[in-house]
Amino acid sequence: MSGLVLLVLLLLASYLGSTALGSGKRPGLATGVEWLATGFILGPSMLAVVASDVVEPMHPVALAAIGWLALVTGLDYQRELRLRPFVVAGLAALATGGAVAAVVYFLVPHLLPDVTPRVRLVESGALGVACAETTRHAVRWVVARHRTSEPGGLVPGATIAAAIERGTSAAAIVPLLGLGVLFAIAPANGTRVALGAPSWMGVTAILGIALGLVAAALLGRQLRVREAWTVLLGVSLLAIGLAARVGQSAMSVAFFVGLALAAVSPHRHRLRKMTEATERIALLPVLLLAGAMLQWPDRKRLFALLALSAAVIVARTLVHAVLALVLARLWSQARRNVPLLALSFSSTGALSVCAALACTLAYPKVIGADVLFVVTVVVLVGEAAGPNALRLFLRRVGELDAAPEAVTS
Amino acid sequence: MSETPELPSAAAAAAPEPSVIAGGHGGAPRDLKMRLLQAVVLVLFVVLYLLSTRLAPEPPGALGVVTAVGFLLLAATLTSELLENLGLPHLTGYLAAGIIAGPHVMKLIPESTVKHLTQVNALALALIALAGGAELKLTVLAKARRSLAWSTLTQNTLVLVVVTGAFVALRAFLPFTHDLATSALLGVALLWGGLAVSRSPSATLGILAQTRAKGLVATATLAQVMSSDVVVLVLMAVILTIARPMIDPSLSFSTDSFGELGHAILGSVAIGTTLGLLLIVYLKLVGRALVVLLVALGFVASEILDYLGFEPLLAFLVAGFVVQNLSAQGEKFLAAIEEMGSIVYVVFFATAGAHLDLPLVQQLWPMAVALCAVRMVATVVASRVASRLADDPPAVRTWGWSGLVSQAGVTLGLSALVERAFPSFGPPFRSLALATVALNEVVGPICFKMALDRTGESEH
Repeated sequence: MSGLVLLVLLLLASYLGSTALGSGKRPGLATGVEWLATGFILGPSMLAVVASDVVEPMHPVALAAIGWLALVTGLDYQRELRLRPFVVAGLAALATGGAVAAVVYFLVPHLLPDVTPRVRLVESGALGVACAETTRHAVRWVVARHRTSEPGGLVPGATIAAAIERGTSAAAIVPLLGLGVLFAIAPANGTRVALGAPSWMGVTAILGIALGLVAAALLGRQLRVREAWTVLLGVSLLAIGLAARVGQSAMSVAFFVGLALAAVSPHRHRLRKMTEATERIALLPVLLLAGAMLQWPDRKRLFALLALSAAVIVARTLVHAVLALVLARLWSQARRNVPLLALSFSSTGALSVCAALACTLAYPKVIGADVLFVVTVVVLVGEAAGPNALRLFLRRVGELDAAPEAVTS
Repeated sequence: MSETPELPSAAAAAAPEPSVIAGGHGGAPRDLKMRLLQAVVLVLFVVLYLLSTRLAPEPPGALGVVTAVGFLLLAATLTSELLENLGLPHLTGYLAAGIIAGPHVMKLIPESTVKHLTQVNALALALIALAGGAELKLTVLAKARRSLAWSTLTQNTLVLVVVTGAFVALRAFLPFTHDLATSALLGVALLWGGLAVSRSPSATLGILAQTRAKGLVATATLAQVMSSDVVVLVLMAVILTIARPMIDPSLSFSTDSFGELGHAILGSVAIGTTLGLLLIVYLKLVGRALVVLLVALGFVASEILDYLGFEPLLAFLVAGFVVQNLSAQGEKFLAAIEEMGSIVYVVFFATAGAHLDLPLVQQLWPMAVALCAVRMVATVVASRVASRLADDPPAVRTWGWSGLVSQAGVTLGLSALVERAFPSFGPPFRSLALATVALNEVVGPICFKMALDRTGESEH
């Protein structure tokens, strides 16, 4: 049986599994980390049910899927953009990413002495980008589970939950643009033209925006749904492929495509609706493949990477603590629950894994392996702490009914 | 990356929705401005792609496939839209885009990438067979049974005999037959005749999906083409059994292959029925994530069926037929296939175009044209005879042949079978088959679309 068949079979099992396990609105764990774990357990590093020669031909699928997810994020991005949450969340994500990158840049020579200066730079940048976000999946998961009028649901006018939701959504721009900057500084592929980082960043933005505008023009005034799918898929794959070919960030280009489409197409609402349903379909293979591509390091490197992961988590938590203090000034109810609020921001998930996977595909050797490993640890820790802290926080500030919950994570 | 609905907000109040057409076609025809825009964008995409191949090397591994799929999707769609003005079917546009972008003309998409892209064939063929089966309604078939029976009989005898005869007559122009004895030549000609009666379900469904045609010609062609899949498998097995001792006198006549064929056909029907019943249960109980299910069916079930020696095409055909005729889920199932197929078919046919061996067609074109012409004439005559015997309505009598000209995957599969079975003349035989399929693949869809337009069965 070919690798492709095995992998498709695995994906089908995952979809059916997630459907069967799901009770109600939101199946599975908040960050989807269970699929990452499934991929790892079945992958070459553990049981080798899915061998590495099976995983490698699936790289185009992974690249297309992460690019598509970025495009959908771009399409959805301007829906509820408000200036204050955008600025606060953007600065917070920037600070988180910056802190992580700085910590990694400082620690790498001590923990991993064999790395070159370029690897050190790219690795710290990649981890900064991948660990900048607080996944809006986790926040939405908690919110979605409790937004009904049943006992245990959100109370009417839950402003803090709404603000956190909006903020974490707005912060997605930081890793998506951050990847663009990282790849512009250190292009993954050699090209026949030598451009500086600002020029490459310009290429990324112009390519994405131009293709988004072309897609909007092709869709025209009268939307033919099937043609729209062809145009959307075609443009996104072309954008993703071209970016990968010149060593730039496919996710950033696709994000710009989505942004441009949402900005100018009269069909933006319809396009959002159409693409919303595809997110889970694209996300599952990403998580499974990321898990399968995760390499278990040797003993010495394992300890080094675990130490690096711990440092990243501490850096993130410190920035989140500062953010919680700032937010506590704005939300009087939160003043007594600053530690819980800080912990609420610890979940990372789909976007982090996508960013790590993008780095793994672009820089396949040491950098990719290290980044994916550290991000996985951060996601796992975030899964354990984030959703529970958020739930408790919302309950304490009176935005979540105190009645027992029907579903727990 | 949202999976769940957002918190209620004022922004959720959607702006007025511009006009939306659920299908891919219909609505007001594209105006001149839009056509110009499409032409300009097509040129832009070609320039962009060309530029990227010149500026940067092919990305490592199979990553180049992503760009190629994106480019083919856009280029093929735009080409088909532009050719629509000339009355040509979309399928011709997809093929043209593939041929032009492929390794023999503009060389935008290298041979290695085309090879990677052919992985989509399994999925496309599964969708085609499932849709083909689901399009066959028992009530319609019952009404058309007389016409179908006569058509099957005349097409499979007259076309077989005439094309076999033509092959023998053209012997002087076919170098690989020069050294063959008369009986061997007859055997090879019979094999060629067997190939000639095969049709293209993919082209038929591609045109029907584009035109959304409903009517006598559409139904009769669909029934004929889909049933011909089964008939041609049986016929080819019979011909192989007869031709083998004619070509190689050291071999004796053996009926073993009939047993194997019976096993394959009965097994495929049984598996197809089971698959169909399972699909009904899934559609009733779950009914979601049909895209994932279809992808799994296309890749996994095809491979497993192939591995077990069954006919995936036949099994999927039966599965689709079961879903349509034994449940109320047929339309839902068809809609899901059509939605997914509208993208998969573009890549499938564009890849087929890119895969076309143009130098070979160039080399063999005089013989290929002659053999195609003979086949086409025989098909038209057989169709007229069958229509007269079955007392078909005038539309079918005039245009019943039009959907039977196309050839594609099934024919290529059969020619590969012949190549494997007879290594002595197999390679040139297959090359000639490839050249004729290339011609029929281009001419056939144009004929069928013209027929559907002329009879007024096309939706627009």
